[in-house]
Amino acid sequence: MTEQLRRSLRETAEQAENYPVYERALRTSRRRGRTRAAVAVAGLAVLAVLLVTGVPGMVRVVSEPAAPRPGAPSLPDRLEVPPAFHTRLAGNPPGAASLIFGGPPFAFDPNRMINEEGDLAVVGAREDVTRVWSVPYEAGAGESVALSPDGTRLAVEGGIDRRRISLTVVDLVTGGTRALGDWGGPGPARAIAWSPDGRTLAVSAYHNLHDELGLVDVATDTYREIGALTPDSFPFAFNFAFAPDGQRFVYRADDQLIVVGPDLKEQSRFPIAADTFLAGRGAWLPDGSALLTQRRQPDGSWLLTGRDPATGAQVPGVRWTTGPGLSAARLLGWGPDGDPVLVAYVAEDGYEPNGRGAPGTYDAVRTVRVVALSSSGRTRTLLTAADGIETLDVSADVVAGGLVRPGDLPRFGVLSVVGAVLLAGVGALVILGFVRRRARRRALGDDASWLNSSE
Amino acid sequence: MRDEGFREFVTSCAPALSRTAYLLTGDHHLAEDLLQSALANCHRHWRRIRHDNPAAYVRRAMHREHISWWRRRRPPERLLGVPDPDRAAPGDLAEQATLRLTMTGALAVLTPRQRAVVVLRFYDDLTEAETARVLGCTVGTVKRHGHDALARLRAHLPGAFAEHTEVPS
Repeated sequence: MTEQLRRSLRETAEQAENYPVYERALRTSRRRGRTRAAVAVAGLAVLAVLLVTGVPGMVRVVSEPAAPRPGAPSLPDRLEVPPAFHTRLAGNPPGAASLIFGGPPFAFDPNRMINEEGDLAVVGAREDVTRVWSVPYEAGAGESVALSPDGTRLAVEGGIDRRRISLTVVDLVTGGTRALGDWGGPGPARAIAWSPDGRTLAVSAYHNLHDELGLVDVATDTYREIGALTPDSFPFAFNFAFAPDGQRFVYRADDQLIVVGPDLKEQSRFPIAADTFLAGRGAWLPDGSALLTQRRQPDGSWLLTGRDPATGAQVPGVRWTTGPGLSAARLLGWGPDGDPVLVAYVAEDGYEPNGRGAPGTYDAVRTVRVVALSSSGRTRTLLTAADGIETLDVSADVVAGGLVRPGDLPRFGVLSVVGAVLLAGVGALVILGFVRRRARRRALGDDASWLNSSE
Repeated sequence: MRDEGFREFVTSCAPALSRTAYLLTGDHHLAEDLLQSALANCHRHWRRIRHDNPAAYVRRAMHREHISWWRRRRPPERLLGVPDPDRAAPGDLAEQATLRLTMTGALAVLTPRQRAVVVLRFYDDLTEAETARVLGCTVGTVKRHGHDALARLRAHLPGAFAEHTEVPS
């Protein structure tokens, strides 16, 4: 039978023409090549989009106002650098915050290729809900980015169009943003401090080739110029403070401290040494009877002393000293027991202060702590942070409440694990398929010579 | 350079490859498409296979592509006019013509894999092991498909095979 079958097959095969397929095969091959290239490019584009937005997007929640949570706001006792793919602030309002912190970039951001300035993170007031925000400037929490006293708003410098918009206020409860700067005069502005009632922002506005101090009414977006700032006014966060009643404030210019009253009229001014600075936004004693100034000591500690706001005279008995090894200390406010609460900026190894001994922040800092000082010289550490967290601001309500909770901030979050597993899985499948395909081709190629027997 | 060598290859091997394609499909148009597709694959990998055995590559590609076609799309049912083999008088020219028609029809009732086994085993004269390597299956699978294919052919062409079964090979 098989011989007959062979003969029949050969005779049947003779019916076949010599199909003229050369040109068509070439066209088909080239068309498939173009298709493969297009698919590869599209695949890479999809992968890139997935990397940039998809992985965090898969866990992004719908932007809606954060629900208020019960309990008093509190301070987490430790901070970690958020993982690269942590949830972003945009579209995910965390609700009222206990603190914000910042430093060099720690988040994954495609715009990083253009700008590498810094990242900010917002931590919830009652639980460790963390949101990340990349900013196109040094992420100076408490210096150029200020958290409102109740922790519900952030004031940040600049905006989309720096020629017109000077300040942006981010509502952490609703996720909305509001541009301030319709006053039109000054250019880019930097948020220095919120007033205790949260209605007014003190800003340094660059105008006519110099910095000037101004107050912005947040509700009406009206600006009032206070006066020119001078080179010794910098860094501003260490040279301005609202009084606890919000009616007065003090700032530094021309090597003097200037106290301004409710009607924006100067109440007093007195000289201040070049190496002496205001202690920070909480520089006024709670009763308003004294101002705290600070000066760096040779061991890197900072000596805080009281001054009479009317005369500048030293106030006896008002004196605190921080621990050593700090490049800066910034007084946030006063705890429920009357102790000053500060951000202690732990200096980088080998840090050398500048010529006038000004507080050193950001690049000068290895990490930050929140500490409470007592008159007995004892220091209580309320918060420690991982290295790389270089700036910090705490809401006034959290400082005044004095509550501290155990921090629960993931070092390597679930979101990063999911993203890494997804990417690793896709990569492994691609590599496995490639290897198997090569192996199969090699195995077939080794013993294919017998296949052309009927040519 | 690549296209020049490829052109020479196609010119020299196209007749044999066309015959295999026709046996696999039983249709001139499909055979042409099948060969064109396999040659396009061959052209893509020409630099790698040109010094090896490009004809073998094309044959293997045709077998696999044909099976893939069958898996991807079921062709519409075709009505084949199959002449009665008993009507053919053995030994004359009419017998040969009838035999070609009946063989084409008989091959059409086979599945693509059965047809591939028949072509590889009885047209290309490969062993069962070689056939298994081409089709990427086991020798047992080749035996089963070969057995089923012959059974179908025998049922479809009882006269022709009955007569020749007794002929010693």
